[in-house]
Amino acid sequence: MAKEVVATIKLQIPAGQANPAPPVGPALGQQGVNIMAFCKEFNATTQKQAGDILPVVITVYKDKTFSFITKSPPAGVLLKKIAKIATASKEPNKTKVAKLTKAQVMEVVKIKMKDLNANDEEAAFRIIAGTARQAGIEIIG
Amino acid sequence: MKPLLSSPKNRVLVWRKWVASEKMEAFGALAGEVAGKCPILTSAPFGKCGRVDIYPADKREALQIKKLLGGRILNLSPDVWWKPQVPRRHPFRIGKRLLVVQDAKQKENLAQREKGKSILIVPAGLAFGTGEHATTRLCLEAISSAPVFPFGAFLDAGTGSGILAMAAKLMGCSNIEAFDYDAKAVAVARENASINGVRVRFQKKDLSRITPGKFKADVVVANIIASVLEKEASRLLSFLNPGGHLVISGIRPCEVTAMKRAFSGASLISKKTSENWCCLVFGKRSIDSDILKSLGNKEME
Repeated sequence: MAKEVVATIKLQIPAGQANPAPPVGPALGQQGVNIMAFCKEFNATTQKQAGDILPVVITVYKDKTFSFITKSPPAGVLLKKIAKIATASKEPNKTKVAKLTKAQVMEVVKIKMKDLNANDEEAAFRIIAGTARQAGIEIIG
Repeated sequence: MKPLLSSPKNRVLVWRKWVASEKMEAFGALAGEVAGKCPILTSAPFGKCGRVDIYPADKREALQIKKLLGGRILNLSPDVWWKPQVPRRHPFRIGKRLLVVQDAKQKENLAQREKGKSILIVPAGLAFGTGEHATTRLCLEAISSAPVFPFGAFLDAGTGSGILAMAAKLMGCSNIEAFDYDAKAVAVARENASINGVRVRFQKKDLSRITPGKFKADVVVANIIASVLEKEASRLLSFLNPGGHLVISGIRPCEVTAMKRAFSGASLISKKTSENWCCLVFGKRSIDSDILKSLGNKEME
């Protein structure tokens, strides 16, 4: 029989760098999850993606065991990385902070595709282009 | 908020708001943007509400978030976020010589029954290694059966709670070096050493920045992760005396081949697997065996 789920926790953790300090420790500790065991598992699983911030969904079961899945890094983070900017624009409608080509945005689309609710790459491109627009990144070409 | 010390004695400040489940994702994204921090979304299956938490750096930041988004500011005590951890009720037996317990009371109760055995106290702290995790257990088993004890020198790279170094000390090793790159882990290890009344030098050092060959030990243990072990393989081997043993863990079964390749300078002595984690023991050839081999070759000629 499947184990009874008591909670689902969603948060973002830098790949390979989970540690018991806030927010990871208190977020998991309140549910009775073994914090150090999670950190070890997460760091081992994500060691190859070091440097990326990964959204993670942790399922906590009644017997205090857990399982987790990691998703692709947030679109905003990927766009900023490609555009080589530290922060997005505070007034995206007035101040543009970077320019990206369609091909560069497609790189992000390819990484995000598995986590997006889109039928094809064209639809996924429009979702990512929306995020870029919100961040003050102009798409040229 | 003060930084977390060696054990979770400090309260943790959290901003919290309960929202309808269907709005949680959108509200979480907004809260994260306003606070400039990662929101934590917690929900129960089929629950009508979910909670959005943000851990601010200080009270001023928490009040700022509250002013913009409403919600509450809580001061979580360690009883709320640390104590619910599954308590360890039974001691761990490592080989025939060592027992690992959680507190002094457990040690007291066991001391009369288990005469002649070394008992190590390792409370659940903010550093890895209470003995429960398969990697720690496998490392403890490997070092307890290493033939160089009790006289050899011991090095623990990425010590965490200091459990492996303290176990080596209790097994009779006198020359012990242990380090970790995380200051919090070093503080936990020092606290654990004082609880156990053992003298081990724990230092804050980054493995990747230590000069190769700076330490020399008969047993080198590194319970880290595969990518770090692979990168620092030659450095770890440089710490090993001829005839010594290198114990590595934190490796998944699928990563064993890469580890064998990275540590090809030594020969694989044993491989143990537990709960989808592996522990490998490598041996560095002793000078004597090299000489004997070369002498044998000359005789053959």
